[in-house]
Amino acid sequence: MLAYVLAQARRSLVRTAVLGLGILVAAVSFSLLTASVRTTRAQVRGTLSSSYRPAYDILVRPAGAQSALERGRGLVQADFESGIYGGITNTQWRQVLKTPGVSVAAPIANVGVVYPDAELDVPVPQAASGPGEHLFRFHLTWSATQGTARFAGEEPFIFVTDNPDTCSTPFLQHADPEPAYPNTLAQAQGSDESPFYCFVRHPPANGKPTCYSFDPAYSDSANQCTVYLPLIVHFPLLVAGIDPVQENRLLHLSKSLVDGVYLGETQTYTQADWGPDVPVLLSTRSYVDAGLTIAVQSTNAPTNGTLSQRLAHAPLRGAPTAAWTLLRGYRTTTVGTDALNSRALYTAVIDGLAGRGEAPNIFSIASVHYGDRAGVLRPQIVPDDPSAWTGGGGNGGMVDVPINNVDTHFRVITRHDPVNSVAGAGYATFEDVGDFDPTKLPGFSPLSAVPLGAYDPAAATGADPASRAALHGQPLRPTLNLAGLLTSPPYLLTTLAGAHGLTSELNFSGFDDAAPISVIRVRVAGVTGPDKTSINRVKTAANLIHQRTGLAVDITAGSSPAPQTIAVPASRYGTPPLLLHENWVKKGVVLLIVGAVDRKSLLLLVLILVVTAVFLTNAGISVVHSRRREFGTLLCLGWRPRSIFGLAIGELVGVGALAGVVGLAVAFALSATLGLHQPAWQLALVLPVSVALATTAGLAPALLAAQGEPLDVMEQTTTSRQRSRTPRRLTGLAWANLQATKARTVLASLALYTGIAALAILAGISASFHGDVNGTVLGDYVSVQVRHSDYISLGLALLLAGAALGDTVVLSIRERATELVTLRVNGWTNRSLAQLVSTEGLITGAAASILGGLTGVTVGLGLGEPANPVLATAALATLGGILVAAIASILPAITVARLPIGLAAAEA
Amino acid sequence: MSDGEPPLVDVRQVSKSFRDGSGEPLHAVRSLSIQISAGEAIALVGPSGSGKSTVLHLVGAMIRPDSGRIVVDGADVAAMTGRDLVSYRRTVGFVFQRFQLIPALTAIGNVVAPVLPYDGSRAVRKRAAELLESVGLGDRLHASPSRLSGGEQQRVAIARALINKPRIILADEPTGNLDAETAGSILDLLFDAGLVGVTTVIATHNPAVADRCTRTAELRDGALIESS
Repeated sequence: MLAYVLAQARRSLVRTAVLGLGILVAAVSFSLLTASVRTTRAQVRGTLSSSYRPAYDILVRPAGAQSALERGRGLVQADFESGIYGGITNTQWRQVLKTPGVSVAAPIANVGVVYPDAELDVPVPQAASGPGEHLFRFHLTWSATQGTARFAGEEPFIFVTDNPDTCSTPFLQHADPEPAYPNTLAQAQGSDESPFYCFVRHPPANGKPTCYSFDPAYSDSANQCTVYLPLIVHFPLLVAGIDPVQENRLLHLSKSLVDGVYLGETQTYTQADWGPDVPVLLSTRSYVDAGLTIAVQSTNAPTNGTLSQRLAHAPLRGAPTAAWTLLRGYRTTTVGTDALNSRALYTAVIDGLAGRGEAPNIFSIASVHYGDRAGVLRPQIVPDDPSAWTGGGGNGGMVDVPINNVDTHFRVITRHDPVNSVAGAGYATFEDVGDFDPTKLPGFSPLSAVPLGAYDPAAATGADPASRAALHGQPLRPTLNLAGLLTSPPYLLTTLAGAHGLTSELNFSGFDDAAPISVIRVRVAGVTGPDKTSINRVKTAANLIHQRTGLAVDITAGSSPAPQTIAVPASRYGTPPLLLHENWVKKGVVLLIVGAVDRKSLLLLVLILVVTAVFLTNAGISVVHSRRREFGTLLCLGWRPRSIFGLAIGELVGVGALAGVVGLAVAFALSATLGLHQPAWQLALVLPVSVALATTAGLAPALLAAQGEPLDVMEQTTTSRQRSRTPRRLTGLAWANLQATKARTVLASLALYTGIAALAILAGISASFHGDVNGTVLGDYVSVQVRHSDYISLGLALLLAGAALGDTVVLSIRERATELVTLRVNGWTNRSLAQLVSTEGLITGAAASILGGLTGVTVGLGLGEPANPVLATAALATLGGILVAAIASILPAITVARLPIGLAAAEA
Repeated sequence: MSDGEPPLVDVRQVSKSFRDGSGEPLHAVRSLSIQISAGEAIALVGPSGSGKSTVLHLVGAMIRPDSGRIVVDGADVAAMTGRDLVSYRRTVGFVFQRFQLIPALTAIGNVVAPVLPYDGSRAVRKRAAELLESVGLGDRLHASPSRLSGGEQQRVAIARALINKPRIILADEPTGNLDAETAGSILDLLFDAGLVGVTTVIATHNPAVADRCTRTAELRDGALIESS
């Protein structure tokens, strides 16, 4: 029997080779595709696992804190903490902490923004002038947003004199020349304050160089030897209360300390006469985008003392006055400029807090409200409210409004005035017990470094070339504008007890001291990745927290940054309109991706299996079909049906085994080339897979063979032909031929139909998958990861489908060889014969492709995939199928020319 | 037919129809009855389409009659199924008009083919070689069918039909594709070479074949016209 099988294989080498090639392609495809899918799935799962956990698993906020926008988009806003001042009680926090499964519950109690006293002395060496009186004028220009916003600041004067008494002139006596809001000079003109700084020059003596002292009335400055401009720095610092123990468990905050000591668990504020004295950790980093340019201008004011004499009699009130007119009338010459960046400004703040920083007011800033138009968020401008800064109750607010707040407002500002006025004007003081560097906080996967980090600075990037150019390729950062689009993270951290000192009604007004906590960040125990157990643990904990506390709960595990497009209008002071991308947080991305990958993987494997099986079955049936007469003869000669079965399947299995051996080499080579990194034993599965595929696919054909009838031997040709009409054209003849061989036509088209349907479904699912997961950082990354195996899958599916059709065309040529040659003998050209055969194949292929594409659409839409990608990919798959059919038909048709003419006289 | 002895092959009122491509019935055999004795050599003659081949197919159990009975050596062939049917076919040697050699097998391979599933022993191959020798192809044992002439192929087919030592030989136009001289040699084989006692039924429209048979049955339009 084996000899018979081998003899048959040898005799039909081409046939055997085609079949073997088909099994080879099918087996290798199946093995490589499953490996590719497994590899990709493992890679994706690895990516997802490593990216699964952001800073924490659950975000707890006060009930109602989720905005409609967040709910609608399934997102958490980037600076979700801003605008939340309290709302969660200590009791609720402890309930969260005690929730089963919760390992960390780290609260943040936003108190508000303070402006502690900070002075920056800017040396003005240009003012170190010769004898006599010299008047210098300064123009301060503030900038923000990568220099696009510019607005004028103070315009102080420095008066340098040799006469100490001159500085005692009331008009020249120094007072805090802080800029008034909104226009510095105009308000200053009408104020009691003088924007003058008076320096007395001390000539060199006793070996000492020329020295300048600032206002001899302040004797401690007598040792200053340089002229400097004392600049009051208004740098907003957000104060927040934390639980040091939970914060350490969550973020190892103590490891970020660069100086001082960490906060103690029970550390609290001290109630002083003026107000609370609060221990704080100070951030060493500021992420503010701000700059200050100081233009130093000399004037042509007389140096002989006449100016001071005139100013000695100048009134202090009323504007404009002759004195101011006089001063402003001098010609100026810029003799130098100094530029200060935000780092220098912040350093002044840090230095100021090295002692004890004082802050007379606390400011709360509300969240930005967005409109949503065509998917683009538009922040709503809030009208300026000067009373938020000055006037009203308490201590009347700040003496002068911080200049940087002149720009466009997107947030409502609320002032909290001190209540404790033992000294006449209460304030809070901050004791810097330690400094922390936020950049030293343990990092997380950059893919899941969602903007949920409490200490991460807010940032937005340009979304179009114009915006990127305006920002000089840099991200948009918070500015010194308290009501700007972006806010800074907390700079000052105290304990919850310390924060209570600020929010207590005994000290500052307007706080909800009963519910001081703004958010709670929760980690759940036993969460290892996007596996079912971990997911359930997080979900259970989240549900319990919500049930027990009624607070708003967001599961952040498995989130990914999702860029949101924000259209910012032009600002008041020069920043052009900007289109920005800001990373908000899309929840559940990992689960979405896992689900999509799993579904896609499963469908891919199923479809590959189906296509492979159909191809092989088609090939097997073709083989059996071509040997029907032989099998009939054997039945006539007394063979048992099961012997026929054995003969038929023996050939298929034998070819399968041979294909498997060759496939081993091919699989190893392709695996290395495609970088699949599969273990050798997995690749070796090509051999048993090849045999299994051939056996499985051969069962039906072998059963068919065994059920043949002895009468099959009597068939003159292997098909019964019945032409019902006389075709007029070649196409008509092709159509008639197809109709006369319906069974074979259907079989051939079935393979291609299945392939194209699989292709359309696959491509639709892939497109939809990419649509689902795109739009988040994690999703975009995974999307790129899975494209590799997608391309392989689609390519191989097409190859198999085309091979099936080509196989059928080849068989058709072989079976109809006599007929085709007879046509040639009767005058047909080779080209016409080839056209006939290829037209048959093309009609079959086109019909199968169109039906396959329609099936792909039906299944894709039935699976709930979006219509556009499904329709587009089905159309592409259909066109691809027709193209493949053309190639698969044309190539074998060319071989018609090689049919020997003698066949016309030979037996069928 | 010998008196007293039951016929070896008893075809009784057998009818068989086929359907053509358009679905119309084609009555190949109509209520045909014929008895064939053991050892008889009977020629079924008649024009094309008279049902000669169909009778052979019915007797050879390749097809079943629509009605009637076919009793061979007491067994109703028409009712046989499964193993019985296979076993019966092994007792019949069929010679086809177009030889129906298996292209993948050599001459000796084709002769051995009927026995292959049951007995692949050397004895079988030896017998096959002897049969081929007896038909004059002793020196072409390993030739493939494509290298054999029509007459040689038919010789192989005859040798193949004899490998199972059949009781009945059914030959469907065994010389139909052969020239006169070759046909004669084939007929010599059929009638002279080792077929003593073998019942032979030959469908033919060649008078020379009919002349060499002991009896002639004429068929026309599926019916037996004359038997002599």
